[in-house]
Amino acid sequence: MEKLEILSDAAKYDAACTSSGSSRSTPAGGIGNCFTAGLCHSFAADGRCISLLKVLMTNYCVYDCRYCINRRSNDVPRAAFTPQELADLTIQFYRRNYIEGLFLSSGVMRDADHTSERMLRVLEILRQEYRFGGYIHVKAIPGADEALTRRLALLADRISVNIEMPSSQSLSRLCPEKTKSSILGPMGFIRDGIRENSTDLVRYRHAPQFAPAGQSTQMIVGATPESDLTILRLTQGLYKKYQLKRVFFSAYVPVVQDALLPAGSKPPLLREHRLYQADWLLRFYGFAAEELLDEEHPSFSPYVDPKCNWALNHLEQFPVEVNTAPYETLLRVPGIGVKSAQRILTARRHSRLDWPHLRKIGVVLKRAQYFLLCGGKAPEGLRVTQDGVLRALISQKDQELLAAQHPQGEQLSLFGPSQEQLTREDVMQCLTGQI
Amino acid sequence: MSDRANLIYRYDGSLPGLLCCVFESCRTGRLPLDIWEEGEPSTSLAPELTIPADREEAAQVWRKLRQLSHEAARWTEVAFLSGAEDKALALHDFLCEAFRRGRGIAGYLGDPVVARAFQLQRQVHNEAHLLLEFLRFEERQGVLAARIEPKAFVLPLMGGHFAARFPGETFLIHDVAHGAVLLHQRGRMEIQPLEDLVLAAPSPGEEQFQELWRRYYDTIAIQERLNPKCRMNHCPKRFWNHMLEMPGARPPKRLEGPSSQGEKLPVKGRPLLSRAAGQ
Repeated sequence: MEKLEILSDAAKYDAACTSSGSSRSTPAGGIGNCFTAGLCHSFAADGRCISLLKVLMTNYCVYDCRYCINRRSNDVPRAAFTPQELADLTIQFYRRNYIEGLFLSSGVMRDADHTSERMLRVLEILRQEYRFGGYIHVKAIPGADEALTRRLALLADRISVNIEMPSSQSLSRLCPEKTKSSILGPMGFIRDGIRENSTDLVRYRHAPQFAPAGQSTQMIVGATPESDLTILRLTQGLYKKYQLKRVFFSAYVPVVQDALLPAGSKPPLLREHRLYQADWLLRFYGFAAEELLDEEHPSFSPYVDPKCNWALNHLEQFPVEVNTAPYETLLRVPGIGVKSAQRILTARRHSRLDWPHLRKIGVVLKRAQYFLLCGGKAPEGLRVTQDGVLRALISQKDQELLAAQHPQGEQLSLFGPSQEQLTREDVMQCLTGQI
Repeated sequence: MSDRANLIYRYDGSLPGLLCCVFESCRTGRLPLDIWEEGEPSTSLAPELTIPADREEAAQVWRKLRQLSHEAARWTEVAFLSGAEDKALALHDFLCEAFRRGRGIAGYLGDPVVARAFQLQRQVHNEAHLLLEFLRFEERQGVLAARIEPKAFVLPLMGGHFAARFPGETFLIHDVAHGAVLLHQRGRMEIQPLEDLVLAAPSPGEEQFQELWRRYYDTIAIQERLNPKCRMNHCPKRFWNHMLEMPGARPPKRLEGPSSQGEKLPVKGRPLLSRAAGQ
C-alpha cells in the first residue's frame, strides 16, 4: 500500500493522462479493449482526469535533475514494484472499471537498459499472460538500447519521451546529465518506427503495431525563462518534425528548493491554460505559431484567449457571413469550435441560418456575435467598436483586476465614460498584455 | 398542423404506444396539447383521448421513419430513454415534423422541434457515456456488481461496452432509479425489472483494492492545483454517491444485503439473482 502511494505520488507531475488514439477489440480469452476517443474514469481534486493508473516502476534514480522530486540528492522514501505486482494491480483496477489502462514511467535504477527491461517485463505479463487489451502508455528511457525501446513500442499503445525543458540551455543547466540529443534521439527513432510500421501494415494486415496511438512529450512551463513564443514554436516544430500526437505542458510546481529554480510561488496555471488553448489552435484550427504571437508580443494575454486575441488584431477580416463562409474561416471565429462549425455546415444546407439558430447549434454568441453576420445582418443593437468588444470579452473579474493593476487612472478610463480617447494602440497593448 | 387541437392523448408509456399517437395525429391532421402516460393524474380540463398501442400501426410508422432517415429513427430510440417530462410530446412533434418535411430531417437543427429531439438524445447519450466512465464494480463471489442512479434509462446503451470489454466476466449493473438490472454471463446479456438486490459478501481482497484505489486517488491530486469547481464540472456531484473514491461516497459496504441469509449468489445455474421480499 505504501508503495503505491510513494510511486504514484512521484509520478503525478506527469501531465499526460489520455487513453485516446487507439482502437482495439478484446483479445480472444483476454480482457480489455481500447476506445478511440478515450475514457476518463475519475477526476482528482485538482480537476485533472484520471484515466490511467499512473505510477513509476521505481523512484530510485541515478540522475540529479534540479526540478525533479525524484532527484538523487532529494531525501524522499524510495520504493519499487516488481513487474508481477504491478501487472496484477493493473488488471484488478481495470476489472473494477477504475482505469482505462496503465501509464508506466520510471526513475532510472542502475542504468537505462536495466530499467527498460523491468518495464518491458510488466508489459509482457500484461499483454501475453493476461492477454490485456487495454491502453498502455510507456515512457521511453533516454539512453536505453534501441532494441529495448522497439520492443516497448510494440507492446504499448503510446510511447513518449519527455523533452522537459523548452531549450537546450535550460536543459543543460537543470538536467546536467541529460542532453538534447539523448532526448531527441529516441524521439526520432520512434517516429521512424511508426512510419515504417505504417507501410508494413499496408503490406501485411497482421503486422504487429508499433505504438498505434503515436508518441507524445511533455515540457515544464515556468521553471525557466523561455517565452510563450519560444515554447509555441518548439511545439509546432515537434508536431511537424517528429509527428507527435500531443505535446503536454506542465505548470512548474516547486517541489524541491534549488538556487537555480524560481522560489516557492504558485504554479503558472493560467499560462499553462493559454498554451493548451494555443496548442489546440495549432492542431485543429489551422493556425500557425507565428500568427498567434510574434517577437513584439512574445507572451499570451492574461485577459482574453489566444483566438480572441488574434481576431481582435485582425478585425479587418471580420465580420464573416455565417451562411456562406468556408469551414476554415468559420473555425477562426471566436465562439465557434470544430463541432459547431461542422453543425453550421450541415444546418445551412437546409435553411438559412439566423441568430437564434446559431445559439441552438451551440455557437457561443457572447463571443461570436462581434465577428459574424447572419443574412448580412449583425445582431440588433450591437455596435462593434474595438473597446466595446474588448470590454465584452474580458470577464468582470478580469476587468477589476486590470483596473486594480493600474490605479493611476489613465487605464481606468478604458472602462470609464471617456472611451473616445482610447486609441487602437491602447487596446492592442492591453490585449497582448504589454501594459 | 401547427395549431394544436384542444385534446390530450393518453398512451401506454411504450415506444410503440407513442408511435401510435403519431399515427393518430397524422391521420387526423391535429396535434395534441400534451401526451400523458396512463395512470398519470389529470391536470387539465381538456378532453382526453386514450390511444391504444397497436402493433400494426406502430410498425408502419417505424418502417416509414426508417425509410425517411436512419438518423431520426436512432434519435427517437435513444431520446425515448430520457427521463425528461416533455419527452413524449417532444418526440411526437419531432416525428410529425419528420413526416411533414421528409428526408434529411436530422439536418434541420435550426428548427426548435428538431433541436429539442437532438438535445434529448444527446443528453441521454452523454449520461450513458459518463456512466461508462464513472461506474464502479465490486467483486462479490467472482461476480462484478455495480449500482447506478441515472436520470435516463441508460442500461440498454451500456451493456454492449462492458460485454465487449469483459467477455469472460459475469457482471451485473443495478439501476436503482429505474428498478432494473442488466446481467451478463457467458456472452448472454439481458435486462430485467428488479426493485431490490441482495448480493453475496465481497470477495476476499475486494476491500484492499478499494482502499488502494482510494489512496491512489488521494495521492494523485497535486495540492498546489486544487480546483474543486473544475472537478465538479467534469464529474457532477450526482454521480459521487456511487464512486467509492469521492468524498462523501457511501461506505464501501453499501451493496451488502442481510448477511445472515448468506445466499451464494449468483454464478451457478440460471437464476442469476434473487428478488428481495415484496417484489
